[in-house]
Amino acid sequence: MIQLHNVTVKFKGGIVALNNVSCTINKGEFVFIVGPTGSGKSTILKLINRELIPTQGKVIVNGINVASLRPSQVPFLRRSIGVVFQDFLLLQDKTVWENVAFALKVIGAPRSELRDAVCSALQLVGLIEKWDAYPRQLSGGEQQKVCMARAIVNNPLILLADEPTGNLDPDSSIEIASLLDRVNQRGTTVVVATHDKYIVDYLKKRVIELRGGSIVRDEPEGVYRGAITVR
Amino acid sequence: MLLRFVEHCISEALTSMRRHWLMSMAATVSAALSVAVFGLLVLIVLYVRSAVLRESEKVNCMRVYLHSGVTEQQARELQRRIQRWVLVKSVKFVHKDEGLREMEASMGNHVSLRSLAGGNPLPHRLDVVAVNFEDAIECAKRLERLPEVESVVCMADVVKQLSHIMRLVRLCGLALVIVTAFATLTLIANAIRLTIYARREAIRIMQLVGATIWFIRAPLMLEGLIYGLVGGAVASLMVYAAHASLLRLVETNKVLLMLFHVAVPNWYFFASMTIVGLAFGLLGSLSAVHQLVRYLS
Repeated sequence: MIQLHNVTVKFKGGIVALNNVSCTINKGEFVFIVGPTGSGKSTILKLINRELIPTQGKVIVNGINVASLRPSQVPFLRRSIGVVFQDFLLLQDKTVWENVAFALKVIGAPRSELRDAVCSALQLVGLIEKWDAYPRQLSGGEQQKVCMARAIVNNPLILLADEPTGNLDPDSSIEIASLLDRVNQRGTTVVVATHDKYIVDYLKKRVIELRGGSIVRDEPEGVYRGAITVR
Repeated sequence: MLLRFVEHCISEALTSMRRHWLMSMAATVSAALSVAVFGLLVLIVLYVRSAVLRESEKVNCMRVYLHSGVTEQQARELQRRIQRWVLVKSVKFVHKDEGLREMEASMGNHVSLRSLAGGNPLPHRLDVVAVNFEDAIECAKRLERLPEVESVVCMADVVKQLSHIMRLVRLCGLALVIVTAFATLTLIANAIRLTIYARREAIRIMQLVGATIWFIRAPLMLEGLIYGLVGGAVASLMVYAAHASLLRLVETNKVLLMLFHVAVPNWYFFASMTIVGLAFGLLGSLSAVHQLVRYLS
């Protein structure tokens, strides 16, 4: 599903975010990318979502070399990828329903499909009763659930989560982790960049640890241990 | 699909305008004021040009004195030849007796020039009117080269000055119109930029969930078009009202009536101001959205 071949990302000023990274993430897999701040976790997610282009190497997503995509083709790649952010990125002037439906509206989904899809996404995250609430009326955990509902509403092949529990208390973090697991069980490939020990140890999924832009550990049922020593 | 896209553009543009009503109003007022200034400027240029052209008609006329040996028949033949020139609007033959009568009349008919000179001393004359006062000098030069012509009396200095003024009016008008157009475009582009800034989160989300560039930019462009259209319409009403009050003032004042004896611009001048507003809105939003697209890519 996702392949990184000898990927290097260098920013202006010679800062190396990723250094010759190679890895493969299979369809339906759940992967945690862990590591200290600045180790390159978010860079990998941005490469998959084609927010960044590698300086060297190839990023293949669903059989497509994303660097070779023309700007006009990028939106179509992104329709197969859902994204969850640490800071939720919800539209404050739209209700829960409108925020989730927004993801479908912008890709021109028909109105008949829209209603069912939003309902089922909100049911999955357990927020159907709060469909008409505004983000400011929700807790941090609930806002993150709305963000997740928006990410999965169009049934993406891949779900990328960048520090999804960064702003949440431990209980809410475990709730979000369970939700991510539930989405993964429906067949979606889930890639989570995090330095939240609780959710990594709780789910015991594949862990890729980065340090200084290189992979230092790749375990099929790993825990957070390596990253803790760095911090 | 297309219908949904159009529906999305209209609803997004109107929602954004309603939510950011203060900014939308500022953009529309800016557009209206700049299009009004633009329209007033064009109107002033038209008035000045029309006044200069009106004055210029008085100096288009040249008096062409023929040699004393030229007969009436030769003079009339010459008249027909000159009439065919493209630079010439009309040629009138003035018999030397008629010329003398005019001269005596201009002196108050107190003096008989014929008796003083012992006959009519004047030659036949042609009164030539050039098509355009700017061509009058060229026309006079060509007339002077004709063998039958003794001399040409033309208000050369006045023509030169008028020509110079006209060029100046045209250049200044063009420069002012360009500057105002640029200012209008910048104002509208800035209004759209502010809208983009206010909606940056929505745009970022749209971008991440796979909205195409056109899906993001079309409502913004429509918003710019609406600012331009409404601004242009308001501006044309403002200029129309200002013009109407000026005309009322001129009609009641005899001195002003002499100065402003020019044709009133017809309705399509005011309609075209709305179209100019629309064009400014489109160009302004294009420029702002172009930057957004560069940023998104």
